[in-house]
Amino acid sequence: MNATVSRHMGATLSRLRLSAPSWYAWRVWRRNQKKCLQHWHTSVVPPLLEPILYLVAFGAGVGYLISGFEYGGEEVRYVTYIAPALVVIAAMYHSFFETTYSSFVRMYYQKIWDAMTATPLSLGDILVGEILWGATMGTMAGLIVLAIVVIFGLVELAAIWVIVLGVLITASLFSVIGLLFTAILPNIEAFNYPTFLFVFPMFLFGETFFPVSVLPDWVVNVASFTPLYNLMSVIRPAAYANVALTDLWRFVPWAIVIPPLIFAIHWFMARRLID
Amino acid sequence: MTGKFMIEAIGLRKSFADLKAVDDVSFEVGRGECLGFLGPNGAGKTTTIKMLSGQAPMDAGSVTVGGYDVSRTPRAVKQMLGICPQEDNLDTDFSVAQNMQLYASYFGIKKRELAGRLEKLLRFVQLWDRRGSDIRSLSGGMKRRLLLARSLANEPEVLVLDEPTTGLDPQARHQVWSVIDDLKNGGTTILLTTHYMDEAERLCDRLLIMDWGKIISEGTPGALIEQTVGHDVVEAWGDSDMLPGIAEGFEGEWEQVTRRIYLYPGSREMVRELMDRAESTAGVERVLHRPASLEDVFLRLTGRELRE
Repeated sequence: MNATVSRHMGATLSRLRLSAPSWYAWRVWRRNQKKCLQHWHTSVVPPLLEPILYLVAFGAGVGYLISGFEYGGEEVRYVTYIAPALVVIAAMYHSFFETTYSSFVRMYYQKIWDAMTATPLSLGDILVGEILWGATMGTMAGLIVLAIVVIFGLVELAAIWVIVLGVLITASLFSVIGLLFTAILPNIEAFNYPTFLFVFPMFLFGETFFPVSVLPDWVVNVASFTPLYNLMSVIRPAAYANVALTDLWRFVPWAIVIPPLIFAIHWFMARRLID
Repeated sequence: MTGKFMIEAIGLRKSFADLKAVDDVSFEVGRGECLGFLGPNGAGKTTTIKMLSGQAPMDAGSVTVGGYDVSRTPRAVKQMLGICPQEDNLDTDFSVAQNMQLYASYFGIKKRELAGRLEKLLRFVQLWDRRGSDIRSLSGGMKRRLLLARSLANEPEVLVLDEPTTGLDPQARHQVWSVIDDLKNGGTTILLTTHYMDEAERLCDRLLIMDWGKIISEGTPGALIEQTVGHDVVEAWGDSDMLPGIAEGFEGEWEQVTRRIYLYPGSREMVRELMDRAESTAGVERVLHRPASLEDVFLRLTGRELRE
């Protein structure tokens, strides 16, 4: 691209209050990483303990009531059924909370983005940096849980890379969805809506702790439009090592929806923050 | 680099809903010059500054800084700007020194690169001893000084100071002023907004007075005083019904605000005459003759009513 074209593009973007993100986004990521490392234990210990509590309560506790059941034509233990779900749930929650509550605090209360816009960082850089950071937090949490369920021997290792890929996509997707809510919602109290009406129902009905197919058809229909249900439909078979490469197409829509969502975030954030 | 000006703003305009915040503002700033923006709250000072630093898009007009167009190449412009905001936006998750390092990192300046300058900058604003302190433990004056040091992290060619001393006690103000003096002497181009006339008079080579989104007057502090109100002011206070009597037959400018009258005599003789007349007017409690100040210019030009 020659200089004139790029300068004209700059002027057009500026009129639309948009800015192309760049590698500078990593400078925003680095800031959040430095903050996180100051209190690294708070971001490592809870995701380490949470799945252990779940495994004890649901695996040993609820699992005690369930003698085992049939899944994919095989008799499986309940604890192995929920193990991959715990991995994905951790990725979902940790990325979503990072780009909702934590990003909102950085943006609105700490005015950190404000300071950043006085430097060569553009709004696009800041948003992409925040998304990358949210995705990092979600991925880390998911991988910590994955390590635990692997240590307990609850998932098969043959297709573990599919689970890792699933964690990456889940963390990235919910990081983006979280920041979209941050762009739109007026105050921090309003985050209760997406938390309890969007994320929490997925936690319960996203093919996590029981097969949704046991519920009425309409529930299954609603669930089948949600990201968690679809991601789980690839990740759980992978945990039993019976996933086919052709099943991976189910990941694709949730990955390609990310760039347009980032554009939407930028659009709403520019209107919220720039003027 | 094109032109002899460090900053060139042409026909800046910006509206919010039906309010014309900035209405056709043009100015230029020479290299090494200190230009002050004066104006009441809501005059358009901060909006103008935000547009020229690429933090707010303009509806019309253009700004170049060091030859770079702000709306087309905002990164190149911001790389050479140091911006000290009106509102404290220090990073409360980090210490004083870490704030400097982080802010520098946004410019792509590595910790090692900053190391030597860090001590110099923090000593400059007398915060070196507090380099490990939590931001929340700093006083208002310390925060201001840190914001100032932070805005120098990238060794800016142009420093933009938005009300650098608002809310500071006299000691802290003088400290900030002496830092700005040093920067001026070092050749940094400075643009500052302020409500304080003494600050403007002390620091600025040239002033722009803004009101209702327009530049209403421009010049050196001395020239502005001379043009607008002349050398002297005769001020008298007392019975508000009797005060206009002093100005009877006086052909110069004067104004009355409740129990006070301000007269702007053009000559020594006129000062004498007005003083005599005021002293002999019934109901006048006190008469004062003083040199005209920038404050008189400001109030003459922008009126005495509250704006917000």
